[in-house]
Amino acid sequence: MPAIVCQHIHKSYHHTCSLHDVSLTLEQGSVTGLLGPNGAGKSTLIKCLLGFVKPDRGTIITPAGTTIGYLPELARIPPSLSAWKMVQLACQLTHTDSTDQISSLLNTVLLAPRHWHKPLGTFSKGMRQRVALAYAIAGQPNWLILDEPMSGLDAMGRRQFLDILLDLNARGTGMLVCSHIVPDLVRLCNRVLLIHQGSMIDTIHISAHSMEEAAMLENRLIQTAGHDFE
Amino acid sequence: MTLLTGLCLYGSSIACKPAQQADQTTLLTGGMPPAAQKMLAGPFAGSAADLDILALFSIYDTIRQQQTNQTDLWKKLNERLLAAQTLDPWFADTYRLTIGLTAFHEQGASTAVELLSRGAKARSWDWELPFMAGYIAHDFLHDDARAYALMSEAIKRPDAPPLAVGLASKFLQSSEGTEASIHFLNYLKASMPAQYRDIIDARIKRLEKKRQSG
Amino acid sequence: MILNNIYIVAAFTLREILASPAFRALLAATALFAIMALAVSNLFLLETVKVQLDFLWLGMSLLGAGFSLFIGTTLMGHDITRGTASLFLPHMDRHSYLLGRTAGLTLALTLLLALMAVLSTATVAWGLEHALPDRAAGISLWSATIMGLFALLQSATILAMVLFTCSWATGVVEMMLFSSAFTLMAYLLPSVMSAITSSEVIAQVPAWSVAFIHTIDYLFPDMSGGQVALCIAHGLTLPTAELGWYLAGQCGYIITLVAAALLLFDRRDL
Repeated sequence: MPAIVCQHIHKSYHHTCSLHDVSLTLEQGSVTGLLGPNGAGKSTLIKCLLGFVKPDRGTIITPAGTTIGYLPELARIPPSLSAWKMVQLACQLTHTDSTDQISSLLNTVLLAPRHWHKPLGTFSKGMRQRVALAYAIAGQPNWLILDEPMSGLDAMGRRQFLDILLDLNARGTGMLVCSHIVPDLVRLCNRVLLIHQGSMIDTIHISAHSMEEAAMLENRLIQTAGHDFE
Repeated sequence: MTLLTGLCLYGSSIACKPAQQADQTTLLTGGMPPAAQKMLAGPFAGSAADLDILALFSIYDTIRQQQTNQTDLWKKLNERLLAAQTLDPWFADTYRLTIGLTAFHEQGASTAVELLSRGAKARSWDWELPFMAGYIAHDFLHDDARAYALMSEAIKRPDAPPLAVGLASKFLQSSEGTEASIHFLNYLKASMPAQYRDIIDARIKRLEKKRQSG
Repeated sequence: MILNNIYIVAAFTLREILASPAFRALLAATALFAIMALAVSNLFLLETVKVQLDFLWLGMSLLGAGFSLFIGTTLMGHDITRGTASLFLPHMDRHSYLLGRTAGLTLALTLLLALMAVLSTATVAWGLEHALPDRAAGISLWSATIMGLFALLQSATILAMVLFTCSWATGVVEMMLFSSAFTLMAYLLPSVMSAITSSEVIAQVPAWSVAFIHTIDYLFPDMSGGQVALCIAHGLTLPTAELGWYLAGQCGYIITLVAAALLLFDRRDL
């Protein structure tokens, strides 16, 4: 499967530049992280890739047959809906609606069967996030775009979530992850793109997935963000 | 404590509030000129007319209780009737109250005739409105020409009582003379259904006798 | 495929609305309006069934407008501002999504007004049983149902205005503010127009301003269904040709606004 390619993307909101000449290539099966301070343009870039936001200039080439699952940072899901119904909806949309498929997806995200038919309003943040992930991976997309997937989760929740994502990647799902949590990005990604004030300023390749790499990346982020206050 | 204070204040305000006067009642568009009411009521003209009639009940209640300053209250009552008619010209209750309340009040007779005449145009199938308007015009306003015009309108409508024929001829006689009245009856005789003929004949005979004797 | 997507979104929307407390409150309000119509009509002397129908029409219209303005705007506003749309859009195009939402909202609105029509018919049946002879001529059990259909048409027009507004406005408050303002103008304009364009007034104003006033009037839908409701409440015969043109005009307006909403929604950032 060819890569997803973005070339010279520009986007402005009310005369404020949000993305400036951003280009990137997402290779199939890779895990790419997007790192940057608040307002750097990460979410705008993700929304451009998904087609939610139209770039002012530039092209996005998505090869035919590419299927993308999306886990938004914030999605208002009706609280009365059960996890089962929620995932069933995703399966209906991806034409994979069957009892086995829904059970399999809920098992993949490590949701215990006793919670399957409970309303989402009674779930913890971590459980809701895992249901949202089950929703995103319905229909086995080639690509998964995750916007702050682990924000607000406790250590246990983050660990579980990371394990699920690594497992999905091992099965061939490519990922673009936008996050503020540097250690999680280092553990998950092959490379991290540093974005600042709408421009791609650095690409850092991750090989060892070690604490040292995480510390280095964090320093780089702090340096970048620090420029804003100088 | 705060809740208790709030409840005490609210309760005492209710207990000490003077009884509301009906002339202060403002329901929906109440108190506004009819045209403004029509504009504001938009697609709910029917309900607005109903509310005007409800407000009218309470104004009338105050008139009954209050012995002084009645002129103002009667004026308000007439305004409500006019507003109700402007909003919903087909509403029978408006005319029922016009006949029942306004017509027999010294300042209300001409308003009543006006309202009923306009209502007669809207309720084109109803003989009662021009009939009553004609009767009030004769009895209270002593305007027999107008009374005749209204009564002859009532005669043209379905199910009008034979009494209307007699009254119309009487009003015409009083305003235009016996000859005109006989002509009118002869015209009616040719155009009205058969069941009216005996009454028309009897009235013509009476008028002719009167003409010969006078 | 497209129809299937529309169906899925519509079913989801209906389920979402049925579970919302606001919609349940509106469903409960139908009974309240029926009781109010019965209570108020008892205060009148002659045309008690007409009074019932007046208040039932008021109830139908307010419920329909309330549904469109509050539930419709909140739902669409959250779709855009809180990312609900992002659950669907990776799997379908924006047209299918908006049409599915529209279908779901219309179904819920129909359900609400159908319940109101059933309760209204029961109220009218009671009213006809207790009405004075000859004071409910022309009114039948169907009167409330026909009124319900008119209320549905007018409420669907408001819903179309809401969808149109939500397709370009940003934020729930802005959407609700503009939708409410447009609805208010649509309700009040016909009577304001008839007052402004009366022969005495029109003689005083220049021709260009009259043309301007008419242009504004044409931008808003014809909400004169109230006159039709008044005719139904009095049991009067409805003029068929005028009614036909009114229905055609309303449907045309709804189609135009939904089409415009689709075009704008397709181009906006989410």
